Amino acid sequence: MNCKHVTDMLYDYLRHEVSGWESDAIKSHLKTCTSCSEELGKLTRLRSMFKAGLKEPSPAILASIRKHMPAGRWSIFPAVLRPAFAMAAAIMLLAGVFLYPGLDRKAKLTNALADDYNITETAYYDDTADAGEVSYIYGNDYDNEIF
Amino acid sequence: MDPRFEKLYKNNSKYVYNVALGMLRNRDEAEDIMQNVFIKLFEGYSSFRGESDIKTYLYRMTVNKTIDYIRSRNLRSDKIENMELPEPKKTDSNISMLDSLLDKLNDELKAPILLAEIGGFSYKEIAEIMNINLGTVKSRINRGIAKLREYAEKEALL
Repeated sequence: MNCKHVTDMLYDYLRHEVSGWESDAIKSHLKTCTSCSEELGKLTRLRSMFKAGLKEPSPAILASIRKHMPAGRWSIFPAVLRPAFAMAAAIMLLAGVFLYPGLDRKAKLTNALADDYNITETAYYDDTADAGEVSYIYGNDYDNEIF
Repeated sequence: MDPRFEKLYKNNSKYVYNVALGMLRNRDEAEDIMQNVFIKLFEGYSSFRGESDIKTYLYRMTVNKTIDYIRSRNLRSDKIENMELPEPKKTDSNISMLDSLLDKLNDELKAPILLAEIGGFSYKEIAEIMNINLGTVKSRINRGIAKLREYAEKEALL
């Protein structure tokens, strides 16, 4: 890299906005070039003027903002996510309403059968059986049965 | 007020204020802009997706509102001149040398430099805040810095 290339990129270099190989090339150029190193010093001083010149806003501004704002907290969930949370809650509620009676009926039926036949092992209701027919399968033999 | 808002204000108000001040060079006007931006932020908070989203919004609002304000101020002062009335809007008398250097740049070059140096944003973030492409940010910043460097050297500040 020559001096023109380096000086054109010095500010980007100081801000870490150059690629790795460009940074290495600039660094090695600066080791041997006095004028580019001086230029780097000038840009660094220019940049430091921004931080040195920072001013504090008046404390009265926060008090004034407070007056304009409603009391209370911001919501935990951003508004964009709120419909998603509401939808999830509604789905869970509906699922509960529709599934609970079925699950309850199956549980009662299984328990009644277990009582009738004095079965102590875990029994599963077999959904695949013909309508009107009740069948059950024993857990120990059919651990992998999916229903 | 919500403690999260207080924290956000504490962490960003100084930088937001200085970005507006760098463009306006008037403390009262910069404070007005900052106040409006934070109130707007509170009102629209629920639509943000996270901390970086809020920061981007804060500075975008600051730059846009400041530019709008400068435009309306210029329009007003044009009208005043046409009406041949005295006393156009004065800028803050207590300005630093840097402010007077920045004053020589147009808003197009000034805004990305202030966002980079005061806000500490990367070029990519500035592109997002200003809604311009990365190449434009890079070129505006480099042109602006070259001018500032030249003016500062003339004023023997470097």
